[in-house]
Amino acid sequence: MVEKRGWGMVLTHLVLILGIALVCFPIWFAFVASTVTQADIVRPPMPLIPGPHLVENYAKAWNEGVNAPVSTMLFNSSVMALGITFGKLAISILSAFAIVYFRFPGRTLCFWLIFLTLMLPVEVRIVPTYEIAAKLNMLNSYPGLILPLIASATATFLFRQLFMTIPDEMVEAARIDGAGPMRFFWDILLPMSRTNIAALFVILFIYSWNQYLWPLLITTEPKMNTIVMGIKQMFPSGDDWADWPVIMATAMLAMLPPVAVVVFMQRLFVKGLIESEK
Amino acid sequence: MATIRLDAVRKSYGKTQVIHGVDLDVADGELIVIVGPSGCGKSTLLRMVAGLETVTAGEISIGGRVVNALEPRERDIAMVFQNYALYPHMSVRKNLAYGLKIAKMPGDEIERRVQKAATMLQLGDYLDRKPRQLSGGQRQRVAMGRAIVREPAAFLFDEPLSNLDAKLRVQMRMEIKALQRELGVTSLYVTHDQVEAMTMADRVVVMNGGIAEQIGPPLEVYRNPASLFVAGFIGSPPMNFLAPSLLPDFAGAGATTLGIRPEHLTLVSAEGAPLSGRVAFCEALGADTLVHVRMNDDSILVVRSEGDPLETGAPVGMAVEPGTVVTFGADGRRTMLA
Repeated sequence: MVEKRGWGMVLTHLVLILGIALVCFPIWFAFVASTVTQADIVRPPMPLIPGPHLVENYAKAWNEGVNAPVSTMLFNSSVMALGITFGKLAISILSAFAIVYFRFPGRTLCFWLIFLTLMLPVEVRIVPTYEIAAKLNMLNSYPGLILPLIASATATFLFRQLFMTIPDEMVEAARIDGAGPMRFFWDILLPMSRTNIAALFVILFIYSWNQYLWPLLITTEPKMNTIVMGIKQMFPSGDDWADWPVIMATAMLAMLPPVAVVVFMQRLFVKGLIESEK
Repeated sequence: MATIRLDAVRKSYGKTQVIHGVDLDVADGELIVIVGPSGCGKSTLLRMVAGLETVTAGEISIGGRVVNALEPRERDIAMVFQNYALYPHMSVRKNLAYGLKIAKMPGDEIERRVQKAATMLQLGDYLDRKPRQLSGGQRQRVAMGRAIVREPAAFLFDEPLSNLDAKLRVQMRMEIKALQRELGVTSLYVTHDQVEAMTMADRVVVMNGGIAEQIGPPLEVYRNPASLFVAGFIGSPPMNFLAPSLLPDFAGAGATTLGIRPEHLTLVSAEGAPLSGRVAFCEALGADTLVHVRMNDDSILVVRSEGDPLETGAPVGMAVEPGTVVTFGADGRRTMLA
């Protein structure tokens, strides 16, 4: 690391503080909006200091919301995000295991087929995927929210690259120790991948949490809304008035789980960076 | 404890044959070192014995039991790898115990064996450390320990010392040898380092191009190399090769190359000496000096001399110790004992 002194140090800090302010200001703005009344928001200038209605607004959002209570939407989002994340991790680590460690006919073809799906995100295949989900009676259900998003070529590819850096001798040592393929997977491969799994968990969780288009399409009942799409659903259509303090409170609550995941997983993230030895 | 027997063992990858039929009988408790340049098939041979490579043709038996079709874990062997292949996320104790745990051995028996191996290898203080917290030599010991706790019929070593520095290598090779003696376990040891082969082996197998060129005790191989390749590979510096015309007295019928070890040549004055040339350069090793002499036909002979380095370009003569010249025919094999 380069050590700066004097003016260099001051300048570095100035730039950093400016950057942080730039990122944080909208969040602060949203937080302030969630602590005042609707009247305070619509009367310019909008206040920049938190008001006294924090508990009231958050309680209203949590228990009632606009279309569905935030507690319900948070629960739905959590089920979807965790389902997608764990599903993606499980499927991709197993398929990477198969592709790297087993010789079977069509192995390369399988790999490229998986890789090809990178070019087919939800947006591209949304109509046929919706049709399949509808025919399988998965509209307005958790499986409908989770299953179409559960495969991940990116994660498979990352695990494949990781497994390829593990020396062949490790496999051979395990074979001589008498470990069968699944034993090797559980006892050696999985523990050796734990920092990568943690890092991917963070990325995939945020990806799943932020899903917007697919939940919007597949859920029609308010009780199945996820929070990210739910915020948009709260916006009024036509001439209705928007309950901005409650919407902002919902937005603040929607941010908490991803932030918590990043904060708590950061330690493992860093550990993954330090631990270079395989 | 067991014998190992290789009977006309061959290995092909597709159409490329890499092992062209190797026969080897390893006695109970013997330490066999397989030595050869890289790509000679020595590691492949070892991996076939371990069960990590399939055998294309021929038969491998361990302890009188044909193991061709057996999985590595069923062969009752233990292997030490070049990069140790320790499980990085397990403590030393767990690394040692892993194989035993899979074999569903009772916990107190595992603990007893781990403790015994740890004492033997002076690893007692490190049992709860992770491999990355150990030095190269200690990791090497853990890899050894993992082999020892299994109490196998045979140890297989695949260049176990290649990743150590020179000093540690000398120390570890003596330790491995002593340990192998103490345990009396039949061992196959693969290396490209002929010094390891000479110092550790009960018998040496010199491999070249997928063929066992010579099998015998180290000194026998050193003194009576069966081929030009063996003569050039075993010994440092290697044997000198010269045209029979330079030493007509020693050349038997059919000999196309003569071989003399550097220590069997002595420097004498150029006048009337059987061989003469000019000093090309000298390597002073302390105890002795390697004098490289350029002959009239531009070939170089190396002489191990006890004196100090000579001046480059000085004319020197060399005398040959009687009975030490070996002769090779056009096919590179020995013709007769000189």
